[in-house]
Amino acid sequence: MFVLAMLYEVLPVVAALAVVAVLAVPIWREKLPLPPRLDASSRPDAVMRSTLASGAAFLVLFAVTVSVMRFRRMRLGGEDFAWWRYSIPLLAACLVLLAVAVLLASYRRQPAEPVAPTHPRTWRSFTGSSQLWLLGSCALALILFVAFAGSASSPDEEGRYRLLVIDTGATGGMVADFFGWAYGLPAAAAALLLLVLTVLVLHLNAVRPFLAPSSVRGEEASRSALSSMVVCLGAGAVLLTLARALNTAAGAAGVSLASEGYSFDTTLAAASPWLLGMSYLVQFFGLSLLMIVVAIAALRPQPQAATVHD
Amino acid sequence: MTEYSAERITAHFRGLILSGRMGAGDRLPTVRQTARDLGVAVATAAKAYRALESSGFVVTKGAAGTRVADQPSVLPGVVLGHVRDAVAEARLSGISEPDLLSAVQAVWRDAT
Repeated sequence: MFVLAMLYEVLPVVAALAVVAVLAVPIWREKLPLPPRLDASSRPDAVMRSTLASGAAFLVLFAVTVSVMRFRRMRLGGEDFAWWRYSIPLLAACLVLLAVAVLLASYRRQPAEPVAPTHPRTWRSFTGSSQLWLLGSCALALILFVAFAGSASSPDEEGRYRLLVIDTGATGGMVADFFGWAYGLPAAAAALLLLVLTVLVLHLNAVRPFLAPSSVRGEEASRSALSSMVVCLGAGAVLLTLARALNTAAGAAGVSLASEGYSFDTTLAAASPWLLGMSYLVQFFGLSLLMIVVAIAALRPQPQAATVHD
Repeated sequence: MTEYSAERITAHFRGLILSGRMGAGDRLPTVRQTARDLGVAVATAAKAYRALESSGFVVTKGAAGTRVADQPSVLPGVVLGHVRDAVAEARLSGISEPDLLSAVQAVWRDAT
């Protein structure tokens, strides 16, 4: 168990090394959306990329902090109930997307030379179907797990569903802190808010007028890069939340009680190792996505052909 | 900066349809997007869309938006091929778009 706990703590390092290793291979590095070099006075795209990368870096640091706290048996927010305990990554991502949305909405400038549109541009115009599937499936997985964990949870003395009970019948029971409705519903609501904000940012990013015919290709490439970062940030935040929820559920499910010569397990005892393994896997993918956001922002801007998904 | 009038917007979309770049059933950008992209009032873009609709190039169906009509007028393939060749040659020769259009208009007037 100590080795597994250590693994959880070093996961961010493993994910960082994995991302660096992947980006070291030129063929894979070229698959990343490369932001083009745009006229500095033309667009706030660089500022938005920095904002998204800062948000992603914050989430990575947050994950490291939580891992260290867990390793030292400390809990975020103390022992008291705090509805936001599992929703912090989602709420932080919402704040970052809100800041990007404000930047996009507040930056209005007449094009130097208007570019007549040839096709409708929507929130999907610069985002690949695979990226949308990624974000959608992550959010769906979180919501499904909230429903699963919520239905297995029991209320505490104040009626908050945040416990997993070992029922021993007449001999008395035992409770373990669990990811029940009390934590799951705020997390699900924050995930839905994140989805709405993601669509809003993708929409605002797409409908901006182009500055001039000569800059259309560069601007399209920049919008593609920005859309990828937005989707990866959202998916990464959702996966970090799901990983923490899975980890807590695994810990609670693995609790057993010895009483009067008998050993009592939770109803989820058999799923405990699976939940733990899933939490590591999900954490790894979430951290990798967030580090990809940082990597895109860190790449040297260069001219590149646009990727437009009709 | 070049100002876009309703007539010019109409001509832009007529050109896209006639050249086959927009086919039957293809969706046009929303009036609002066209207005935003071109830096004109929404009413100006809406006027252009109404002109396209009245000339049978597009149809507007509520929430489905404005789409190219089922059987839009398209330039014959031979004509389109010559136009494309002329544009390609002009670009190779460094002739600007306004100059080429002026030349086409002059040739058209001579032929009529």
